[in-house]
Amino acid sequence: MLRNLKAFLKSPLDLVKGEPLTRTLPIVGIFVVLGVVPPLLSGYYLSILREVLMWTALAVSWYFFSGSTKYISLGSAAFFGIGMYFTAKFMEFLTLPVIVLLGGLVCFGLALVIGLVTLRLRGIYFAILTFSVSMVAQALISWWETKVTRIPTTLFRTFDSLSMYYAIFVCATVTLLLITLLRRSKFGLALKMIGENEEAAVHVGVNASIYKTLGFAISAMLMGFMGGCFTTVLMGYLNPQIAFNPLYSFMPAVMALLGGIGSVYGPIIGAITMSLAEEYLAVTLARYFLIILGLVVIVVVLLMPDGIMGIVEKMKTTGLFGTRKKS
Amino acid sequence: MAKKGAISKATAGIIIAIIVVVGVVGAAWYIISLPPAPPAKEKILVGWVHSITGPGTIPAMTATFDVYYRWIIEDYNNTGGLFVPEYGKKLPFATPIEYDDEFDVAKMLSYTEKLITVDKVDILFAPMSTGMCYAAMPTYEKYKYPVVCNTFGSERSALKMRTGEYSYSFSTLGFPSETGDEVDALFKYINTTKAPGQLNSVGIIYHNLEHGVEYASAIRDRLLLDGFSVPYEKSYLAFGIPGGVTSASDFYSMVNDLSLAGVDVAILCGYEGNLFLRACMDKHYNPDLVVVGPGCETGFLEWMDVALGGYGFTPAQLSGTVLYDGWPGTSYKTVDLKAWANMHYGRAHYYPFPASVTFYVGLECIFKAVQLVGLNGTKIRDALLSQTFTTILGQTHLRPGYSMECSLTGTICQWQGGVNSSEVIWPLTAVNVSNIIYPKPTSW
Amino acid sequence: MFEDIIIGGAILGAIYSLIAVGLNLQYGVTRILNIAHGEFLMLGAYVTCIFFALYGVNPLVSLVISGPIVFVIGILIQIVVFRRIVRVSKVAEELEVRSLLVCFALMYIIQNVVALIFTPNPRGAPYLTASINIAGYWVELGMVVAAVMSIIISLLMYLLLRFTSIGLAMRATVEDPTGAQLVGINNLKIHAVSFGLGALLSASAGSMLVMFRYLTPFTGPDYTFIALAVIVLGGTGSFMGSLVGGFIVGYVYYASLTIDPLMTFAAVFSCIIILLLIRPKGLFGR
Repeated sequence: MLRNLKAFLKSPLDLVKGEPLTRTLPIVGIFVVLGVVPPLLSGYYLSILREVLMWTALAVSWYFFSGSTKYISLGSAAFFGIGMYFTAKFMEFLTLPVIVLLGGLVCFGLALVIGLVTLRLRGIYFAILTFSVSMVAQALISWWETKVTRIPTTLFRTFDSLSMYYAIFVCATVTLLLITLLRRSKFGLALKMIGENEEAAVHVGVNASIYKTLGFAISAMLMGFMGGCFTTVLMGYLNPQIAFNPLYSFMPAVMALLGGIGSVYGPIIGAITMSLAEEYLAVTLARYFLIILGLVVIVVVLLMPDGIMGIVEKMKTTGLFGTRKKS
Repeated sequence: MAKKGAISKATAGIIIAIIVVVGVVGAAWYIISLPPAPPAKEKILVGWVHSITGPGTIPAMTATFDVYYRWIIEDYNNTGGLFVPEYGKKLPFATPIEYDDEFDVAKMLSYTEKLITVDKVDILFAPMSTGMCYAAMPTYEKYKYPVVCNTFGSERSALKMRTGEYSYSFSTLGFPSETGDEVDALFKYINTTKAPGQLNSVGIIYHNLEHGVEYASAIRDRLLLDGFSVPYEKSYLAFGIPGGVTSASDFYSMVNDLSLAGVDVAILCGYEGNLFLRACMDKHYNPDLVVVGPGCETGFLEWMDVALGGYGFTPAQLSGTVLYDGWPGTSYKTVDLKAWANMHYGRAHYYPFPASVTFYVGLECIFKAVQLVGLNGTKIRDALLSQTFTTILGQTHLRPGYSMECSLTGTICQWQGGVNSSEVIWPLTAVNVSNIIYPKPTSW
Repeated sequence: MFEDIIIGGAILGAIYSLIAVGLNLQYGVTRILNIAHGEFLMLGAYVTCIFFALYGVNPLVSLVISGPIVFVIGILIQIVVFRRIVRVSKVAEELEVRSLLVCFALMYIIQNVVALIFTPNPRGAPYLTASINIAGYWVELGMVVAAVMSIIISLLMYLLLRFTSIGLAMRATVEDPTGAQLVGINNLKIHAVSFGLGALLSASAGSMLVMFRYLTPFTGPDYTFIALAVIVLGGTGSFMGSLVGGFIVGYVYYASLTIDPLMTFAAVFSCIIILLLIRPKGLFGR
């Protein structure tokens, strides 16, 4: 990974070793636009952009570990929520970026411990275990607030829409950058190998435990960062039900799976389409939109079992109508 | 021949002609480029964001409060609309715009902004629950939209309303400190005058949401200060959150403990009063008084009754149960209020709870303010702060961060054998107040 | 306090077992982790509430109505939605992941369709609400009846699995899916029937719960979480595991309710965490 970093610093446009300029330039361009255009947008559209960025970052963070190693984690809400809580409680003591960083590190540490202990399990056991972790986290914090401090809500300062946007934007950029650097490195490859066949990976000398645990911890840390940045959106009010909403456990997984977990573009596409669809449907068809969203998901899974990116991959090899011969 | 050095008449004429033409053209240009006169306004647009779907929603709550938003618009439309001074006439209301925030703060905020900046509503109604209202207050302040937050009831969050930092946000319900004061005063009255020396110990159970924790704390602190003992206190997970109470059996152990502790009064601060009462019934637990919170004031016999699949308590069983609500509440005894209650039953198929009309009146204050000062947000806010309106609840005045002041309401109610509504029993000076029944009859 | 917990825990345990047996059957045979299980429970509950409110049919009798209705719905869903996923998935993991996604979508759909039609207000069908005294412990008759009925239905399910040919086919598919196919068991039929039966069991639990509980269209997930906890504790694919696990979870839940009501879910899930670390396959898991 250090090699990657050096290469990146040497020539920043060479975002990832081996990626052609034609791919990285537009991506950099998109980010520049996303960074510059906000002051021109009205509040509502800015908030849509912000939501899309946040879900993209969360879906990609989830994908980084669960998509690669196929250990489906349903505990994202725990880390997102802890990041939120940490930042909300301590943001008056240090500047926001520092607190968000610290919150992420707390998540990193917790995830290390949890990972060391739980990554021996696989499949649905791991999924349910991680889900239990988020339930227990919520219950513990709620208990503390109800019984010990007797203050069931956390109040803190508010931020204006541009600050909200930039907090999420910076976090999303950092997240995507970090994951891009990591996934092509030895680390990312190790995770993918574990995902394909863990026993074989161990056979060729990959220390699965360390990579799994670190991967889980990094994923958790990134979600913790995003949780911390998300506090800027909450307008000064937080309670355990808001922070640990099970939705934050399910949605990143659903978005990533919908987009296809074959490549990093999967969760990105999945997150963008789902959050935009939600926005559009919720406004035009208020009472029906969850039903329609559900139907759309089912249709997509039935027709595109490898996710949206799966179709894209197929089209690349066989052409739009399956006419192009495979090379 | 013209004198040398002087401008010839023709030249002067041309110059004058040029000046005149330029002047006329310029004036015409200016007049044409003036912004067109705004089209005459035809309808008043109201909007709100509510929690309709989503895992975090407590749907019954939304459904209960939604109705007053719709009714007031319908009612005013039935009389031709709302008088707006800037247009010198009554304007009807357009179909209101509603968004579903799925009980998600971020969504609620973005839809609120949408209502203000994109849909450009004239009047905003509040979202559901204390947390949501609190989160939206800075937005109201920023865009200068006065909003009456009916479902807002947290002391800590009210501080900024009281200092004027959130000057565009208004409240109607009684706050924990107010309720604490009233309950304390009531208990003192019972212990000194009504049944001297008989009310000494109190047990309090409360749910873990903000409402329960704050009201329980407020009540407990004041009782302790005034010499009452609180030997038993327990908190439980609220209905609607994962793992929360869903049946009377969830309260069985707490009822057991209350019974063992031998308290004179059992108080429940939360929305699950009917489940608790059911548990008391199952266990044949009859303390001298049972006090419960919002969520089970009314329609025990109508809304929750067997026909709709609810528990159904008979008037005899309910008799004696006290509702601390602390809201400005009424027992619908005056002629107007009785008519309003019947109207409510016809429309919603259950009789109103003590504070139903309070919600309606809170919204009406905005409308009455508009009638006085027009649709400008800042003017409405100033009117709401300074004016006392005459409504069905008497002289009505909003006090940001405190309960709405009405001349015809009380604060604590008790079921006393009535089929549809409870009686106001406190304060003693309230209009049409009834005498409290203490100890409560052995209902089960 | 102890007979409190003994009786209260048993009542909850019996009902939780029933719910978990259904989920276990579905997962064991079809490998679909139905996280919309609670929604089938809710559907059964709503059928009961409607018949109770409109026609005065008592909840116990309505079992013969809600059961078949939800059974058919379950079969239809399995055929229409899941069959294709099974066909397209080459690896078990792919199947599990895709069906997880689909169940999640189903959850949203069922919840909101019901909410649209019946409004989100809480509903119940209070029946047998008189309280009776068991060994000094007062409890609503309906709760006891629900618990007893749950055990009976679970037993019936056990008998079906043990002594009927369809039960044999199901068990074979759980043990060895490829082997089962080799001996001529019609996989498609068995999958559909198992899924439907699982849904039926869940709906039966729902029909009985409304005798003493309120349900809204959105309370399904709570029961799904409990069912997941139970089958993970008991071990997937094990009938005995679901039964024992259900009672354990019921007792932990009720004990926690007595000691500190704030920690009910936390206690249940902490137990799951601890148990999984000691016995990763659950108590009776294979």
